[in-house]
Amino acid sequence: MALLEVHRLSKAFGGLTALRAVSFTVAERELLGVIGPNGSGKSTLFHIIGGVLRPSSGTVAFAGETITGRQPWEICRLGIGRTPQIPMVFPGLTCLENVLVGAAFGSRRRRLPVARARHEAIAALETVGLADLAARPAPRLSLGQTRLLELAMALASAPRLLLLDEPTAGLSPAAVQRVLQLLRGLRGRGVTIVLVDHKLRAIADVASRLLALDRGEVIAEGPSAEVTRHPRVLEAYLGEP
Amino acid sequence: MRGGWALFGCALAASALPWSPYHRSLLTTGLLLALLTASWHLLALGGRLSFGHAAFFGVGAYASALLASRAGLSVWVALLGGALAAAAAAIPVGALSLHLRGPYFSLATLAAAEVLRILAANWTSLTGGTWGLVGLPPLPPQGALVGAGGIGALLLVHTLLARSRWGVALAAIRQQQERAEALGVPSRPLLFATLLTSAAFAGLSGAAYAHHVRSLEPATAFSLLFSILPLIMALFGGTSSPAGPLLGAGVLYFLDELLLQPRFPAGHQLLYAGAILLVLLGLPEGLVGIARRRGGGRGAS
Amino acid sequence: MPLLEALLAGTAQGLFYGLLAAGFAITFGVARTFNLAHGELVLLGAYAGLWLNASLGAGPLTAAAVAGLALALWAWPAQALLSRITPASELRVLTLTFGLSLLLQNLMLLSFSADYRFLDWERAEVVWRPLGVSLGAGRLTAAAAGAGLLLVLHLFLQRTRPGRALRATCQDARAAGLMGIPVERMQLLGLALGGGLAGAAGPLLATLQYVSPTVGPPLTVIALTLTIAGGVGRADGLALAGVLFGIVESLVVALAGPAWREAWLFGALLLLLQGRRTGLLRGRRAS
Ligand SMILES: Nc1ncnc2c1ncn2[C@@H]1O[C@H](COP(=O)(O)OP(=O)(O)O)[C@@H](O)[C@H]1O
Ligand SMILES: [Mg+2]
Repeated sequence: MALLEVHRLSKAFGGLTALRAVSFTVAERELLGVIGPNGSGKSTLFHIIGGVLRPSSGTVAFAGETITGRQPWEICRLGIGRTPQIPMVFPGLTCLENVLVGAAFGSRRRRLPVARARHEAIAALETVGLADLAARPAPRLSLGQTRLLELAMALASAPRLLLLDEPTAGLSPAAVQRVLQLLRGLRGRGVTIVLVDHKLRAIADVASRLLALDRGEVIAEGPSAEVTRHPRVLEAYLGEP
Repeated sequence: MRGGWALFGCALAASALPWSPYHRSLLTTGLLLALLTASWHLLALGGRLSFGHAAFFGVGAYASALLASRAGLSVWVALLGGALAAAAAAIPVGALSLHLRGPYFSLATLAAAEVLRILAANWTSLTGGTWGLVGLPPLPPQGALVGAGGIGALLLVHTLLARSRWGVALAAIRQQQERAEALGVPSRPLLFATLLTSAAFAGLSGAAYAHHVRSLEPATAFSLLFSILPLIMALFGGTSSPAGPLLGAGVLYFLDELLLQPRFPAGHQLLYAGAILLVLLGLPEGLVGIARRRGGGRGAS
Repeated sequence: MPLLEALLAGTAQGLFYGLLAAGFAITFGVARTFNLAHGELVLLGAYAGLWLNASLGAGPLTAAAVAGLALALWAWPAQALLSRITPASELRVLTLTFGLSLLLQNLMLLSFSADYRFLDWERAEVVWRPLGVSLGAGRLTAAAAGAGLLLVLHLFLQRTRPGRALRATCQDARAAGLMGIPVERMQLLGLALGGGLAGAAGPLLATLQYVSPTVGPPLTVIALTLTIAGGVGRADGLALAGVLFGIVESLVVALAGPAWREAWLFGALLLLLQGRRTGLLRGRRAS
């Protein structure tokens, strides 16, 4: 059974159709890449799955349960973790406290006492390599470190499925490689990942399968090698690196 | 936190001293205002600045007054009834406001408080309408302790929050609500629980106030002043620790009553206007901020 | 007949409400804050009008013109205050205007006492009776002045260069700045218009109702409600919202009694706010 099933999802903002009858599934332990030029609806898709936006029509099911219309925190507790495209850390908290929010709440499968949650938070910081900065206020991180902190926050919530919205945007090539390496490691630990990126190359390396969106529609889906050569994908990406 | 308990100790000690009736009365009102301010601050922890706490103050005052004078309950029981009634009133108020953010939340609470005032003024059979209620049963001699006791209970709430995951959850909601929700923080239920608790304490403060002054009318019980004062006093004291609002309330109220009102009876509220402008223009963390900077910049809470 | 009366009286009152809201809406547009001291600015205008009337015998329209010009000067202190507030979160700015309201209220109490006053003028007794409904000269003058000023404002915003620049600034100050619009000057202009329109409304208000330093907050709430309903940067929206608001208000008073007028006022605000879930998806459109 697929872990995530998206069925004919549409979303209109006033007159603008951001998503049009998008359907796809994600199997357990898979790493699916979602590609598409800016404005093709990738973030909107994540917002709907995460419960931030209501779809105009269509449904989302997670582990066999329909989750459309649920509150964002309920969806998180079912086991879907997210990182936002624009970093949104808690500016008044230290790195450790930021991650602690995820560890203390997060997935319903384990509600931890605060002391245990703190351990989990430290472990998540270690996973992303920020353990040294645990006591630093979050606004004092570089963009690359902030993206890693976002990842640690989501990881600490112990998700079965991670939705990552452009986790490499704005990073140096070395930092991009570090993030991709981290994702491979997570996959090895059994986390299912859906990764959004509008840069084809970064994503084709790590993803086993790709879904290509253009103007809110699925234009191609399949193994990375096929999708990156698909004529409509090439057309949509014409002029973009 | 420690500062808060120290101020609580001061309040208890002050309540035990043999004051003249006039000063005892001032002390009682001051402590009740401090309690109202502290209750306002609890909700502010979740990033919601209420412009309408007079709603809960007023409902608590009316409920307790009616329970004691019409239903004949003892004042102590009526006070609890006032707190519960205020929490009950917070259910519709919260339903109409807690999904809003920032200025829109504040304005919704302001409007809700006014609607409640108008209801109180027009529901004549229950509230006596604009004439109000007079000759209410008095607060017992130990009544000054209601303010101090409420403050102590609120400090316990703060301690529980700090020791559990809910304290950090409120901070997370205040700073970045979407992200908090995405990490599993149930923002609506938590904010609702916080509002109900806050309203109960505000209601207790209003209830005790009603028996302290022994008369009520809608225009005073639901006065905009009881919405503005906790806001100003808390921001003036500083909202970064529970001590701030208590300090702000104490300093401003006694400054007003003891120094300004006797000398400038017409414009004494300029003090509050000045205090809020001072905080917003030059003292962003309030009195507690000064103390903290002096103390070497370490967190005191 | 009460229906017709409510319709006509409500329309007249509503046009004045539109004027009451116009300054508030422009201020919101350029300063991105609801000015909770708006009602007090209107009252300052009213007291200026009362003084002009008592000492020079000025009628409401002259008084409105002078008070409007005087209150336009409020733009300078307002801009200075706004630029000094740290950190400048929306809520802190809103709280600042709340404090300003309290400050002005108490200053007026000190200067003018708490007495209720009314602007009396020779034609105040004249009554017009269209379709058997009686409308006093004060109400008609206020309505005509409101309609006139709203029309001028509308033409200014839609047809002139500075007006269009002001509207662009209201919509998105950053983008306006990138297009070469002098944003700071536009803000000053917006605040001056905001203060001026508030000031002009003052003497007219004093012909419609008794004024005292403490009657400001309901005026602010009317302006706030109409701004949320009618939108920013559009005078026609405010006029329409004002008239609808005025008519419903008259109906409420006619059917339920004057005690419920305020219930309608605050109830309408509470309901309108329900559509205002700001946060995530309104301001954050970056891809
Ligand atoms: N809250 C919103 N209101 C109106 N339009 C929106 C909103 N969010 C996104 N859009 C529009 O929907 C389209 C898809 O946006 P988005 O999902 O952010 O694209 P992507 O993440 O692929 O760059 C864009 O045209 C964008 O302008
Ligand atoms: Mg995007």
